[in-house]
Amino acid sequence: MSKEVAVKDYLQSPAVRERVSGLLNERSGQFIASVISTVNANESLATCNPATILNAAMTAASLDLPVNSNLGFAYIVPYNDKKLGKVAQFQMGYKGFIQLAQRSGQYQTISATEVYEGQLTAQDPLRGNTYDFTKKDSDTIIGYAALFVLSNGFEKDLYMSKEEVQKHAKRYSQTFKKGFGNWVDDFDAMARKTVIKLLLSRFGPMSVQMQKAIEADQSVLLDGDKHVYADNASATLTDAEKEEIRVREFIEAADDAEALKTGCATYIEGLEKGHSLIELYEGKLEELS
Amino acid sequence: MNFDNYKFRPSSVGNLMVEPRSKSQALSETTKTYLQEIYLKEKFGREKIFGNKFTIKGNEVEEDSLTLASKKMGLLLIKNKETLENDFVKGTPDVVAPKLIDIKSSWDIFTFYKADMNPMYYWQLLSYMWLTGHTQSLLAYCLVDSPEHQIYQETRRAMYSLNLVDEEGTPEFDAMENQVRLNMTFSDIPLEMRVKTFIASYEEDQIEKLKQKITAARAYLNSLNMSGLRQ
Repeated sequence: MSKEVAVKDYLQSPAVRERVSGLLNERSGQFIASVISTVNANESLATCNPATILNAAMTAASLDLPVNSNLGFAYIVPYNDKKLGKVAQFQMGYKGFIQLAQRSGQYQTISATEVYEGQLTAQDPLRGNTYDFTKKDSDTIIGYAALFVLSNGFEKDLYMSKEEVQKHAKRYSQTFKKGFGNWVDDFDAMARKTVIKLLLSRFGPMSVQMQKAIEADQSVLLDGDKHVYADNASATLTDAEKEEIRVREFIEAADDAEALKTGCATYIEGLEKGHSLIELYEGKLEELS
Repeated sequence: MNFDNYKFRPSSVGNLMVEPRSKSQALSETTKTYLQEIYLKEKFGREKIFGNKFTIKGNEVEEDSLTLASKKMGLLLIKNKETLENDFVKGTPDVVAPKLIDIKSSWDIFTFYKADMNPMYYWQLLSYMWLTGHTQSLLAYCLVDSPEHQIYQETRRAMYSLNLVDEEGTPEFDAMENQVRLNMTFSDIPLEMRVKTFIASYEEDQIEKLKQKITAARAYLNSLNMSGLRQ
């Protein structure tokens, strides 16, 4: 069975239909169809753990945000994690944050934009920066800014230089460091999202939905409510996890059954019954034999 | 206190092998200082605390270095956790199968470039071969990224030494920060260039010399008392 069919079968299974129906009622059929459509539009998603695809889509649905990547509200992004395997990650788009802020009723206005040379006229970390968007010295983007004005008149902005945004991406996104993913495909959109997200989380009143969106952003939702930030470069693995990854990579890269046995038979024998590496090892041995 | 059966750690047994200036002496002053510290630790529980940023990095990135060395050698290297001993030495080699390997994680590219076999590491590897029965061993220097907290600390150190306090956000500060990070991370350097190995072979006559030194060291330990004079 192809992996695309496997994902589709999973999404259309009775258990999944029941779970989705519990959240979306009569919209569940439409929702499942939209998730299948999202998977069909992205080859890499079809090979991801189907449960994580569904969980990411359900997160978007609970926030009432579409996951059509052309719209920019929320995304389901495939991610190859060394420990978790191929999983789907939920990502907020900057438009999604704006939408949620507007829905809260507390924001008079909220937006984010690129800042070109000549447009940042004064930087004041206490009173707020000043901009002149009527002029532009060149087409060079020097940074990104986000601004909100609350219904009570309170106003706050956040400016990050392009270098600061790149440093942020390098620190919090492994895919950026490796040269692929949304940061590479649409840096400006990710930068706008970054400034808006940081502005809201630091200074803005947060609705329950906004809090949920920030928690879920760039996470893989496994069973239950556990968010795993697989792309987060600063998340550190334990020594035991690093060792397991090393063994996993050795098994996956093996091209000779005898070398595989010589290399890790003793290690595998020492593992607890049911450990995932045992299945991987035996599967690989069978493949190579 | 009796040191007749005291077992020495392979990682510091090289201190016993420093030759005395005069042939009439059995032990060098360096060796005696080392033994005096052992005596004080065993007798009174006091020992010098030797943790520094180099040992911290070594401890924290050991698994990363094992992964790097595994990839370079095409072998699955697993950290050995078993302490081995015989009548003279007692220690925990980093890797015992499929090869006997001791891993050293270099602080930066400058120390990595100069890294070589030295007498301390030679005697350490010899001791491990003695314990395991291997006839050959590898000393593997690995160049892996430093932990984030150490990058942060070195950035702070540079900030003070270059008088860039309160200059965060300036081009000079950013340049310093970028240089510190570049000096402490190495994923841009090909893997094969980030592992250096040196071979040590088992030599029975060297083991005999080590045994003799250990015997002399035990006798010296037994002679020590709090006045610092031999009994």
